[in-house]
Amino acid sequence: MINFHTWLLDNPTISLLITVLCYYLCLSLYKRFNHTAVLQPVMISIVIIMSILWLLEIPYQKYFEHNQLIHFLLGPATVALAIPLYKNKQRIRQLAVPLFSAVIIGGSMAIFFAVSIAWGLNASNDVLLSLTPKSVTTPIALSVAESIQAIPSLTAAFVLITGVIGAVVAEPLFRLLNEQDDGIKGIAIGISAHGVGTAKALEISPQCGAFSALSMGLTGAYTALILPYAIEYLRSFALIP
Amino acid sequence: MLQGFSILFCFYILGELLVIFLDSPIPGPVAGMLLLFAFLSWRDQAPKALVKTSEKLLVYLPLLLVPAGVGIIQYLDLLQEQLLAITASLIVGTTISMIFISWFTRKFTKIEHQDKSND
Repeated sequence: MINFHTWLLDNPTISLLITVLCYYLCLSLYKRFNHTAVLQPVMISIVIIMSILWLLEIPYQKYFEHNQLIHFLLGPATVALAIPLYKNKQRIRQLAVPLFSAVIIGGSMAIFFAVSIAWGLNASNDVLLSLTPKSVTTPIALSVAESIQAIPSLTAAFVLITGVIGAVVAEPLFRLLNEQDDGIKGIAIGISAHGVGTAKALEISPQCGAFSALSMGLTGAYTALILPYAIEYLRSFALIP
Repeated sequence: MLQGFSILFCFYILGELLVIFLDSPIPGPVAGMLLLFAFLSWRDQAPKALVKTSEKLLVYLPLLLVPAGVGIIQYLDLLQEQLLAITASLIVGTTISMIFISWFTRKFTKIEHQDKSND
């Protein structure tokens, strides 16, 4: 008789099945409840899978090893983000000055707000570093986290929660600010709440969604180009470890 | 599909190589994305196969994030210890940044005006 637990740990298909099935079920649930942001399928999948790993006593290293097939595709998928950006080339060119200034100033301030609040409340260096790419679309944030030697898993969680908060807060906030321009709403959502926010922006209006997607892509590119150099620069003065 | 994946893999590798050659801290996949964007803009058209494959792949992008995200299971203690700082940073930080960006965009850019002229 084979040992069930050993068999479980030696069989990559089980881990792959857990990932795919959980995500599929969470996605169905999310669609069923009209895309409610708090049911964001990646976030819920992560929580459920963590419980399954804990119950079945599967170490994370094993699970991750078995899921290499899925994880690997993240690289090519990040490259594929060039396509939506290219399709919006016309709009980027027309609105270059306002878009780029909003992305550069807004993207930098989003990092500044997050880090200074956490720093003021005594967060550790690991956490502060992992917070820096939190407003950026997750695949880019993950690779930035790796390159600045933050903790990518922490970053992934921060990014997802940021997106959910942005999506939940957006409409009441704009009502409060009496902001009625969908272009501006889209830019604010895209820069601070990436893809999860963009899903919300698309519900507000197609124009809002387009601006959000565009700002999200540009903020991702801008942050990935600037942040690693900024961190390297600060490290060279031993301002951060 | 295969043609599209070949192009994506090529630019992925080119991005990684460029970053190594320039000894740059920019993440390889992002460099690949920017190279592909530059290439498409230069050719001024995107191969149909590439567009099709990319759009299919991007539909599943959220799924691809799951294995890395589950890694948070290794840091639950850290999260618990710094729960207040993290929660405050995420909730307050995100809200302030949305307020700031909409204020900034309205005040210093002419997006509203320009957008109307494009309609």
